[in-house]
Amino acid sequence: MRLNGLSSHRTVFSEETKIYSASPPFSSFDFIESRFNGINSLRRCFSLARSLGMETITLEKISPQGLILEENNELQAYFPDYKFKGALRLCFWKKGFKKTEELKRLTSRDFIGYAILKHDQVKSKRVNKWHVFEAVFKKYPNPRNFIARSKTFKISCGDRQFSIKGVLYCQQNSLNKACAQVALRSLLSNHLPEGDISYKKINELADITPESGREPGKGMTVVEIRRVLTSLDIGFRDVDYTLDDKFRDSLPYQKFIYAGVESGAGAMLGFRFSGPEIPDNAPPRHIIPFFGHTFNKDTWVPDAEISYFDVGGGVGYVPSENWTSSFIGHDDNFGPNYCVPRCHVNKANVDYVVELLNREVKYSGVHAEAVSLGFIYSLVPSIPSESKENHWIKRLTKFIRMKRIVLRAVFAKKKSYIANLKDFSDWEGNRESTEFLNDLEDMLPPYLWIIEISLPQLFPANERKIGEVVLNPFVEPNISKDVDFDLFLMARIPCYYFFLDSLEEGNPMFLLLDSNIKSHMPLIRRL
Amino acid sequence: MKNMLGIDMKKEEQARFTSPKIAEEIRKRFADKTEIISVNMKYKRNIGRFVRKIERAHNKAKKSTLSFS
Repeated sequence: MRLNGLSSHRTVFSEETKIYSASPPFSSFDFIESRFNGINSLRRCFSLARSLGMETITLEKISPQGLILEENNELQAYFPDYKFKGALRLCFWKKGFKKTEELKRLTSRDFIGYAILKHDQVKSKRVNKWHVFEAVFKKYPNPRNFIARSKTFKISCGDRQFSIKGVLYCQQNSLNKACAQVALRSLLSNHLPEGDISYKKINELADITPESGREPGKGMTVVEIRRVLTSLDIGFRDVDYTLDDKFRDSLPYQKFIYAGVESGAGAMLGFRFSGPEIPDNAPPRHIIPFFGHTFNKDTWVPDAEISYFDVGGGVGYVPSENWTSSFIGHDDNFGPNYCVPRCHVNKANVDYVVELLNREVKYSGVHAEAVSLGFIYSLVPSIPSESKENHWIKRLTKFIRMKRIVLRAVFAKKKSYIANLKDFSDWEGNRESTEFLNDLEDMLPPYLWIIEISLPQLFPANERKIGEVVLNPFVEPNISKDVDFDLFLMARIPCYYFFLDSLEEGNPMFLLLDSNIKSHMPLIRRL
Repeated sequence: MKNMLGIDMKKEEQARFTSPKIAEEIRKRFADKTEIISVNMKYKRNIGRFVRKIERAHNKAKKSTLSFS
């Protein structure tokens, strides 16, 4: 199915557009309870719309097209008594209006979000209910809510088309999709060149078909999730914590989620429900997607011992994720764009985490941070002694000795990296040579793992850094080597750039190049 | 199209960007601003063990029996 086919349920024309004013005495509660049997996830959609300034709601009945039609066909194949009972497109608007003609004066800036609701009936399964087939809402304008990658969706309303930027939210129906399928679709819609994927395709890639005897509505296993990602050529790193309890401490789930959301690829968290009514032998498990995080520069955690991440043997650093208050994600049971406090899900209840990698990327952001640590801790003490008089090198050296440097792994275009060096001066106003940066741009691959080096206080308050290690994300790491020099492209600290010159019998010789930048620089912003 | 290092900018060529190639080109262009230093790589075993742990966990997950519904 081509992109148009995949998205035609969003753009299909509706015969009639009903308009509701959201001003008092309109009640979202009444609306949802009377029409949709009080679906929790829809309540969340209305709450988001209210928070974003909803003034008007439009409601349109739509015919089954695109992914809805494909889902209906899949459901028919599983359940011969399946009946499609209808689909509605709800759009939420910031402007007040009463007539469809007034849609003409609206722009996409007035558009807050949309939700497509679908009503399925399978009598043999005693299913007769509405669910949110998909919804997209703008993120809050707060710059501290960070989403590395969102997608623009085109939606029709009346005879007009509008666009909205966000991350696709989808709800399960327990028939052809459960939490795993909807979590995958949310993240895959950001990854795939087609811009979306059908549940039929996800299930087929997982080998869940009517002939397999597996009902897709009963969920997916880790093996099936992996099969889907591998078939689509999407790299990932995952951990099943039930296979080795020690990983809960040495490979904390938060590191993988943070690496996934910072790189824009996303991550999924699989956890167990707990409570007195949950059976110990077969606890139900749920999986949800994450795609963003919040940033709190005043958070207390980084000053406490817990903030320090030890890769082993007392070698560690302060990960930038410590200033993340919450991860932003969807919970298909409850709705879109929730902030889940970073440490809220008890590690004892987390059974699985998967960090998605960007296209062609061969290793995780967690891996990249650890590799960079070895280079920083080795390169800085090796610089000529006269440079050690620079205040920022002195401070860096001190924090390296204490193993308290802050690291932030960013997956970014080389253009963003070069722009970061070209567009800004250091704190004293020194600028890098444009001639050198133009040459450097030509010598780097199009995308980079950039591991920014900063210090506590400098990182959260000023959002600035004192250098970075740059790795090639497209090189397959050779983990049999303790140091994989093939990943390393370059490093920068005040006064110097480092390039690997040669390896003489395993002893690395680095080329040191003078830099005009003598102090700290702003953190990288992606282009 | 080939870049300064003689590498085609196609996707499959991206792994060919290496630091020694960049260093060679930098030395040619900015010789008066460079010097070579020997570096003693620290904590390599600890870091090597950690990255192997990530891969070990990832490989172990092949045998996962978890399911999510």
